[in-house]
Amino acid sequence: MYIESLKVIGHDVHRRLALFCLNVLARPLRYENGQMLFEHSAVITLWYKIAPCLANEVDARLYEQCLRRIHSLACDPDESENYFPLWLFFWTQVTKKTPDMAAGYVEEFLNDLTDRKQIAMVSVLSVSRPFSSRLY
Amino acid sequence: MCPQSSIWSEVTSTLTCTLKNLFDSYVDPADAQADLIACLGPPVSSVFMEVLAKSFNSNVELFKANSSHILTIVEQLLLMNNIKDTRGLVEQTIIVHFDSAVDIDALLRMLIRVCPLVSVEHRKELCLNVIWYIARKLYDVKCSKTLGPLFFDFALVLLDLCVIEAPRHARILLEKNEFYPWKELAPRCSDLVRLCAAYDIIDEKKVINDLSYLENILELVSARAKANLVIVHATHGEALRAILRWLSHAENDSKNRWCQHVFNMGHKMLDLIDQRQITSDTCLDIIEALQKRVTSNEEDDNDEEVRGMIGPFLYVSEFLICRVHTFLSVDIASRDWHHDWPCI
Repeated sequence: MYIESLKVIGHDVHRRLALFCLNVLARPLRYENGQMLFEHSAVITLWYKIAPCLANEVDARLYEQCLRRIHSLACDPDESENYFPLWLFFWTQVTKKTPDMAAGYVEEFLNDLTDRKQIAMVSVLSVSRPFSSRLY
Repeated sequence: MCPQSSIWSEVTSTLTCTLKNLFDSYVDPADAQADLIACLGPPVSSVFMEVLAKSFNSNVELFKANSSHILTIVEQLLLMNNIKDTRGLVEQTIIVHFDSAVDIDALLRMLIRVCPLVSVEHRKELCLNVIWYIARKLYDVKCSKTLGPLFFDFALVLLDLCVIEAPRHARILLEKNEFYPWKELAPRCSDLVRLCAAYDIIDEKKVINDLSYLENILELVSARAKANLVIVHATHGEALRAILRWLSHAENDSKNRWCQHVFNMGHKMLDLIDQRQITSDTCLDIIEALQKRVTSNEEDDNDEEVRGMIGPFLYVSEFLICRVHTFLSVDIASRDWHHDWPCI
């Protein structure tokens, strides 16, 4: 019962966190002088801590909208340096535990690899089952 | 006695010059008590008191015989908010004989009782002119550790005065080495944190000021907490309350901003939060507060000052986020463990 209550706690907190991140990500990234808004720095820090804490698909899916925004930033040549690692980190942490979710993004992974020359995506692809099945 | 009369002032100056030692010895030391009380008037006769004080200064036996009466006089003077004469008396008598003849227990009990009664307008003077000397002596003096709790209470009373000059003295008291029974004092540490946090209402724009001693006090508490975990257990509530308060906007300032010293305290306050007591509600409260702050920053975007403040605030947020993460990872660690078992 103790473990059950922990699960419930975790999900609520994740939902709130995801909302917070989404909120922040929706806002302009930088000041005129190029300085990044502090809340964005905060979210980047936070992201690296959240991803390892995701143990199941239900929680991970809470972050999908954030992921989309992060990926679009990752594709922006000005911002990819900061945001591509977030994309990559999320998937390296989460793919094993949420293979079905990862399956939905294989297209993006392949594009990352081929168009955007992100070699690191190979490790993500090698773990996700659907890719292996697509090979054959 | 009529100090206003010019005749009298001539009398006193003649007396003080020619009969300097008039009060140096008494046949019966207890007679000094009558003279001491006479000093009080009303009105208070500063000159008379000065002369008496000088006698006590040079004669430790006289002092010893009358020390409790001197404390009574000091008490009466403080209740009259007469800081000037208090200082004179204290400096000449109590401070001089501190190491040999002063009853520290009685002194502390009197100060603990009386300091809160000094009017707000006079507290700054009190700290600068009276507490200054006493606090230093208390720090240096070698006395029994059984007085530890009493010293601690005095430090709390000083902080409660809520003037900029007070934290410095509270800090020096608390730094007395190997003196306080920290385990036993743990519950009182919660009051200590609360009293420090209460200084957030003080509007102090100077960047470097005496309020930095508050940070030192908080640092000291968290250092002691590393050796006595029960302390952090006690401080958790107040520390969390303060941090959540500071994450939202100040109510007293027209620009809705906390002063620098508040952010500096916030940084130290984070170490006084007890990991084990963080619940999901705590996490939600924190995220909620951060969210509000971020949304309201939208209005302030063009304000250079706000951007300047962001530095310390970022620190606070990042540390909070790490704490939230630690809670989450404890959460996860237990889940993973449970996860592996079914394989058996």
